[in-house]
Amino acid sequence: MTSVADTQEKLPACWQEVHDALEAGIDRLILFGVPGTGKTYAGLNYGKTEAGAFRLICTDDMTNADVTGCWQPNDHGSWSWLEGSAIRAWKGDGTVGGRLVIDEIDKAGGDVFATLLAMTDSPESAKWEHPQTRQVVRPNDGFSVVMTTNIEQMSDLPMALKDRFPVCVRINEPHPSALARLSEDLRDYARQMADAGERRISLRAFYAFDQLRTALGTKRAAQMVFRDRAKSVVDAIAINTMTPQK
Amino acid sequence: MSKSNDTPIGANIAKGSVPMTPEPEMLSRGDNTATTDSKRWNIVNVQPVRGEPCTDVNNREMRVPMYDTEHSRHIRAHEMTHAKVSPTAKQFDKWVARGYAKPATLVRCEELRVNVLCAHAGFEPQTHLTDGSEYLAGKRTAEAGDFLSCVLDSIAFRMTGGYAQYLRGVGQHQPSWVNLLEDISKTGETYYRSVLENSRSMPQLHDTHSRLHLSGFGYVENYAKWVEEQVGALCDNPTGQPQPQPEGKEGKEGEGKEGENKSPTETAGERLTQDRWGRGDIPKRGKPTLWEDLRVATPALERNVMGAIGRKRIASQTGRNPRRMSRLLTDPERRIFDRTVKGAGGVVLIDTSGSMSLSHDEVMEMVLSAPSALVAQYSGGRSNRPNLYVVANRGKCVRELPTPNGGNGMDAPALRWAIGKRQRNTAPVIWVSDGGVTGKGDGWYDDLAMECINLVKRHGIYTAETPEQAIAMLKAMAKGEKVTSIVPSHLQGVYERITGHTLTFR
Repeated sequence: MTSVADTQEKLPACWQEVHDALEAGIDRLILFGVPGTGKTYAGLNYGKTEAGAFRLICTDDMTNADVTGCWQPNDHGSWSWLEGSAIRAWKGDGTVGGRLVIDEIDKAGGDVFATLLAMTDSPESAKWEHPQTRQVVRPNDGFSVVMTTNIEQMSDLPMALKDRFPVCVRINEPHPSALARLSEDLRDYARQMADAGERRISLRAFYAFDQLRTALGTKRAAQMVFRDRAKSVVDAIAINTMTPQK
Repeated sequence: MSKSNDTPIGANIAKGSVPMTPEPEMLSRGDNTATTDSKRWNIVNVQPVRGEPCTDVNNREMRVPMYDTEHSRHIRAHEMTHAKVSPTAKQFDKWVARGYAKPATLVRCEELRVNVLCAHAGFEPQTHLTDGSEYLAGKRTAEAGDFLSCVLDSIAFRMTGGYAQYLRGVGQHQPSWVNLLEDISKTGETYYRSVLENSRSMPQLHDTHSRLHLSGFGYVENYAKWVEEQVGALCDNPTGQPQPQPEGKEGKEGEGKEGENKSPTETAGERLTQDRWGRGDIPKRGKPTLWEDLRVATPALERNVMGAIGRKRIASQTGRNPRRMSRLLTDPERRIFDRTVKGAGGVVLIDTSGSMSLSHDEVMEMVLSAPSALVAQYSGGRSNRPNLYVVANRGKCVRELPTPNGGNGMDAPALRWAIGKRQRNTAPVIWVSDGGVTGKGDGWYDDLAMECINLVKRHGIYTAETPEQAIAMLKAMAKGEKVTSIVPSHLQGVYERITGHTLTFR
């Protein structure tokens, strides 16, 4: 089992909450907040994921085929049923249920959303019938769901969904293990700017800046990554470090 | 530093231009958490007119021009530096409550600190920070005879593009003030720069988290205090009118006619010349020092230290006069010339207070282990006896070591004395102490300990906590080996508590 706490001794409060919730056996969790902070990564890797973690990325155009499955032509000239992520997560490794990670839940269309509600229902209520074999499938013990969304307010989510996911954690800074990939002098900036509202700068932008500046120097790298904000970013670094930037 | 409640004069960005928004969320401070969901910075676009741009650290509001010009950029940098280093309203109130300087003086001295820090960070406030109003401001203030405002404004304008214009304006009506204003503001700039240049000084000029009076804003308080002392008479007399001297205190003999009143500028000028402080030193006027006075005694040094290495000659392969011709045959390296070597020198300062529990033999062993060094022992506590004794110098030492007084009392003055006694700048100073530094009455204050820490860091003093460590260090130095200080536990504790960092010495 991978623990959130394995990566660093003292976790930021939001990540500590994720850790504590998963450690306590919570199997329905919503992680919301700004993008680029490692919510999906946490969903796929932290807690009990030995039976597999299955990812769903919701869009307006997606269908239930991604959730429960679909018919697909096979080599024999006939059709086979291809299970969707939710069913695979229910089954897990055959004995223990896996982890279903649903990204951008707020972007799912109405029919998919309704199906997802059914798939994430409590184990007693959740069931699905195979369209060919008529076999009734239920989630195995250990099945868990982590939903991620970039919405800022949980009130924006439908009540039915919130009811199924009583534990919601707002992730307002990148996970320390993700920050560790940055040069040390940039980590604080990345951490602070991840949740700076409309002036947010993503962790990925700092990764690119970090890589570019070694070859091109700070100012040019900032120009390429931060564009209109380059001057302000470089000035802020100069003031924060009290060191002129080249 | 403070939020103005009036409506800001908004600025319109030209069509097609992108507003240059500062990034205060990127700044980190030791005393303030990074931006949070509930406390993001509110950036307001204002015109680049004096009085409009401002920063409210408490409420996280910054009013700055967002034009893409160097002038606006420097205003943004100035306000960003405020956001980085200036105290919050609550902290500022606490500084004011200390009573060392008035709010107006603190604010102006803070402006200078911010400008110095801006320049240090690579900006050019001297070139770009001006809005053209400074000349008129100087002229009108001087015309009104408001010397105090002129002093404070000149401090605030120092290191900006408008400073020279301001002085020119003052000079139109009060030419005699110009040099004085220049001196006062220059002193501040020099003071702040000296702290900056001394990169080993802790806490630094931009610190925000230290509780020390000599930390980030503490330096501002220190300078403000000094400014008010210089123009003290004028602080209560803002019109700048000469004040009558109290009876019987007209001045010293020969300084002028009896009963003659000195103008405030003259008084301040005299005080200024009498009371400058040196590079990064602390002006102590107006506040009783917490250290004992240093009373140095130099008893007779009658005993030769065995193995003293003063200046001596050794054989060399190169030189001008071959003085050792026999070595052509006897020395495989044929070192027939002479080379002069100097002793390592250095100063060893031994804390002989009660907490060190040093025996007579231990002190003598240290003296003998430092044959070419100047060795002094210090211990305060009694008012009528010397508190620092030179016990060895130039290869000679005392026959009997003086009896210590028992307390500490003057660790920092003793350190300063030791630094001043170095034979040359590279000569090492070794301080043997457990770090239990105390002031008058053997009282312990964190500020005193930090003063010693700063001295040790600034001057690269070696420290040892016990005689064994000191002797090992001295022997290693004599062999030319590299040595590392052992940080006294008391100092380590204070430093960690105040700064949150681990203390390391040279």
